[in-house]
Amino acid sequence: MNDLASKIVLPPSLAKFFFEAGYCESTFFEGRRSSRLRIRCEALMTIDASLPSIHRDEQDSIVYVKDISTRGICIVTHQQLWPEEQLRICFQNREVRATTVRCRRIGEFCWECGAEITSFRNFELEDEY
Amino acid sequence: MRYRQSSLNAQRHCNGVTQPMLELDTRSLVPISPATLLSDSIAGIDIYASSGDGSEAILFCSRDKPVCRSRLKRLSEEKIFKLYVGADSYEAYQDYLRDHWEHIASNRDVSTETRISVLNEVVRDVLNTAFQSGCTQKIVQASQSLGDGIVKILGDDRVVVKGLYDVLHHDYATFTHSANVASYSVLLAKKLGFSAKDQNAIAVGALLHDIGKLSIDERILRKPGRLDEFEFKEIKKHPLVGFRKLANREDLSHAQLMMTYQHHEKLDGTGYPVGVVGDEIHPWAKLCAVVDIFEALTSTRPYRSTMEHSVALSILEKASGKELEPEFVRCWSELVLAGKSRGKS
Repeated sequence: MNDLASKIVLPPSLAKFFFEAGYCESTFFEGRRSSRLRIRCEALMTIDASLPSIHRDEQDSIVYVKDISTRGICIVTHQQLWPEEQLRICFQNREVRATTVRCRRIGEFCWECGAEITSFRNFELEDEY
Repeated sequence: MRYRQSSLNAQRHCNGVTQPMLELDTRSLVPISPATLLSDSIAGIDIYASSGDGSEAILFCSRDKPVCRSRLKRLSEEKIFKLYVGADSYEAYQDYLRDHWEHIASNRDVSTETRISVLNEVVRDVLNTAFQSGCTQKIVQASQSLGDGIVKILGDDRVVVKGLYDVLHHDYATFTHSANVASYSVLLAKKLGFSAKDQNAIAVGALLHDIGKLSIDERILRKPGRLDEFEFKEIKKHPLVGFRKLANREDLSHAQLMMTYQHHEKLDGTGYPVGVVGDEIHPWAKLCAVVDIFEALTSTRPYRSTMEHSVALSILEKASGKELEPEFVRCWSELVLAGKSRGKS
């Protein structure tokens, strides 16, 4: 992770990105199944499997974790991710494996991606046992 | 199906055989296009004809007799121009179409209009059956089998938008819309100079572009009034849902997937589902967007009737450059207007 530099360019609207914390508010119309907790940190993302018709030159990149719930994770990336791409996101001694569900363009080098968590490992807890 | 003896109690000469004339209530019948009947082939279904003025239908050709085109033409001249099959035979009619459409499509003796008409019936029919199954594999296979035929027939230089519009159906069924968008896409792709191979792939992509709508509640799709916030949000999911259905297939290209995923994106980033801008939108998706909007505007919708071509074009031109690729809009306008002037002459 130390060898990689973040290519994300946060727009002014996200200037306070790393200073936000706590639970996210949701409206009924968002149709969310679980509440989301803001976790703002850098993470190493590996695209474990892309799509048959997509070629990716780089598999690893630095992303920002935005929030997480029991079912999903939201990250900010420098490039567009395609729905159904399989991701591995490592941050704070945790490893999340997830399937991209949606992606929204925030800026040329800033994309917000939602992914459905398929597995979650907490290495801190595993070390304790 | 209930038959009844003609009130005239007449004898009708049918395919060289004198038969008692039968009449039946057209409510139990499904109308079919005369163009879909291949000359001298045995359709294997009873075909009925009526004058189309509300009178009852009579048996035109029985299931074991070949269809005689000259007789068909003569009846048409006598203004007996509506043909039907029994509702219970419609599946057999669809089988007949599937078996013969390529033969009709490749037959240069058959008029272009007839070939397009046959093509349209088959595309709608095959797509409808595949869509009803809800099986992505079947839908993709059906689309791939149709792509080649669409390009083959619409590759004819005599095909114009006006002529095509006249034979297409304009109801709001997703399969009808997809079939129409596929035909328009091929015409635009041809005009823009895409290769035949690309036109074929574009046809397949266009047939699949709204596959995500199959997962949306029919009550929302067919709602006659204004959509509320929730309903609109549901509708807006269809490019993403469609993409996810197709994303892992090896038999579809990135460009074809983008037709499904990006056909509601706009150049200025105000589209959905991603909000990509300019060149981030694939050219095939931009092409699909132009004809998709035109088709939607010129077809009947639950909340409004069809729009004049000129009005639809003015809406496209208003969005040109800001939301839609100007080159594609200009090209499509030329095609529509050329078709209209040729149609008039």
